[in-house]
Amino acid sequence: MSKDWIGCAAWAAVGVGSLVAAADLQVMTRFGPGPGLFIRGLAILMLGLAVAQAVGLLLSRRTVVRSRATPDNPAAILNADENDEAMDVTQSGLVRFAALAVTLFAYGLVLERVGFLVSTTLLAFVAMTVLGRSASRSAIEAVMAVVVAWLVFGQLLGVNLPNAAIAPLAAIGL
Amino acid sequence: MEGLLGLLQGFEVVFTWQNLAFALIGCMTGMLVGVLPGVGQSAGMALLIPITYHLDPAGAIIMLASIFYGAAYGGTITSILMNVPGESESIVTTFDGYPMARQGRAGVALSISAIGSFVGGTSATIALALVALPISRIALQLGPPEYATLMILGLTLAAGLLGTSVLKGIIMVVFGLMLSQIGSDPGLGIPRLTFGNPNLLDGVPLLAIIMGFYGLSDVLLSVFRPLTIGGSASKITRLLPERSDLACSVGPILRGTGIGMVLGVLPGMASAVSTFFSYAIERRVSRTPERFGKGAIEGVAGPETANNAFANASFLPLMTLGIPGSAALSILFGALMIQGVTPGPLMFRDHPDVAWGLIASMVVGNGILLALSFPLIGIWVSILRLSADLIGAIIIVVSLIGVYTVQNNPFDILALATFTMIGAGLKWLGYPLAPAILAFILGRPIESAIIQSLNIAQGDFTVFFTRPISLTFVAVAVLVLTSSSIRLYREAAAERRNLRGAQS
Repeated sequence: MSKDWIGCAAWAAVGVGSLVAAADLQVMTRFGPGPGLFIRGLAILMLGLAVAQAVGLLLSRRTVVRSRATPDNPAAILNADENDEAMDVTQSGLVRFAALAVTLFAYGLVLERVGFLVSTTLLAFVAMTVLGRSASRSAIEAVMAVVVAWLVFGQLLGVNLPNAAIAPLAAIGL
Repeated sequence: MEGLLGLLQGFEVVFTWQNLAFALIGCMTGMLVGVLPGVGQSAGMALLIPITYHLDPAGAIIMLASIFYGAAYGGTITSILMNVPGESESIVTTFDGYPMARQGRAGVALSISAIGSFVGGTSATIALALVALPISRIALQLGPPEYATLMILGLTLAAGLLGTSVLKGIIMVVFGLMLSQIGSDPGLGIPRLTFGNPNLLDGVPLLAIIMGFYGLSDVLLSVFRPLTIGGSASKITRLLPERSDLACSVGPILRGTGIGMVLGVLPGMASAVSTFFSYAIERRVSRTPERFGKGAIEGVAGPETANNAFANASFLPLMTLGIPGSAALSILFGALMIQGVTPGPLMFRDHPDVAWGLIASMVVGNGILLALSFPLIGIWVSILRLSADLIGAIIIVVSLIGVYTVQNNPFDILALATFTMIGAGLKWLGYPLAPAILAFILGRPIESAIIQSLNIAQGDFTVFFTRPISLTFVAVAVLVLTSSSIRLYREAAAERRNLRGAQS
């Protein structure tokens, strides 16, 4: 299972990275345990767990399909994982996933520059289109969504929603 | 007596038009998110925290708690009508609930669930009101070593009880604890792992983690999931149970109430355990066990009651010890913190209106659910046909605006985006997220309890093993982990033998 090895490597990296990042934090001070005690302890624990996982992966011969819970075997519920829905990673799926991810970060970066109304309309439009709605329908619904969001957050709950900071947009009152 | 007086005080808080409206909106929203495909109880609560942020503490918590049990009932509706359990604790309900629906008895199954939930939930709430104060007083007597080991025991239960891998659960606990380390150190105020970013001095924003892990990451991952259109919902003909149905259900409802209450008070215990126990016991005591799996009403009444009794009883460790037992409760914990109320033994002293209002609202909320469940079933069924792209887009827009409005800081949006990515990655790799959130929330309290213990013991680490109570907690934690590992190992070996047998 290559997936399990990815996880294992990531945890080892988290452990090593935290040790490096916490290198200048003191473990013990004159007053007792210092700021670096726990993060170091946890990082070492994490490295240990990553090693344990790697050993487990090397020793296990093949993956086991768990039995599903049935009326005759209700105990199998205890083995149900938190997220066991099947995922099918396709190329188009990856592109859409990346598009959504970029949109999330972009919203945080532009919100206070182009203002709430413009950025949220764009966000709603991109989100709906990428998730599979037709562009024309998304455009209309995005505008509707922003009006509703503006009414609920800005008017009903009294939140200060940001106006545009850049000149041309600010000039027309967005 | 004190408990009953407190409960009366709580009813005073709840019975204002405003708070009743919040409870009603919460129950409706909860049922809605429970029914919607791909939106769970936790996601629904996470999405609505920013909105409740702008309400007063009592109203906000009443609304979130109503979402909590409303969503549990929403999961029941889809389990019975469509064989789609929303959360793991509803799986058992599909065993007999769906066969009942196919026999045209969906209405009976739903109403017996609603009645059972009401009985179980209300009994658990009254028990909670009676014991909460005495237990919070005992909790105040616990020393730092006991408190630290108790919280660690809670995390161990959360990591070790459910899922296919104990190791993955523990890794997520350690990951959550590490995340809680980011920010100023509690003793000297030295920045830790902030990478020079002043926004991180207060720590990682809890809301970003909760909403990223539970709301947004599933929306993003939905691009990889084949569109599942739920099976056609069964028609509902008869709603009210017959006298024979009620007679069959009295025993299961009473036993379910007991099972749910006993298991619910254990911090970190999973709700699915209570439904499984109830089902197994009903099957064992039944004179006609062969009916189970083919539409036995006892198999719906017992687990549904246990589930709700469990949910309400699990508020006890949250409110008296400050230990949330599940993902949904850790979200409620986060919401309380955002409102400036620290869940734990001091809550009854410092914020009695919130504490008692919350408890009283559970009784009211269960009543609202019982009243609402029948007239609205038709609406819920039609909501199932809403398209997934629209729901996904709404979740994205609401959570991004929501996380921003709490502090008006765009950094929170970036943090949310980051944790959405982390959450999506972890879900793809098959790691459970609930233990990480629990560990993140308990990280700082555990750290200060350990530091205090070490200061008391002058740096001697054996302090956790030499005091009888804390030693007991440690021993139970070790026992849970080893027994879970052994159980999983045995099952894996058995499965392997089966596979080999099938191949040869």
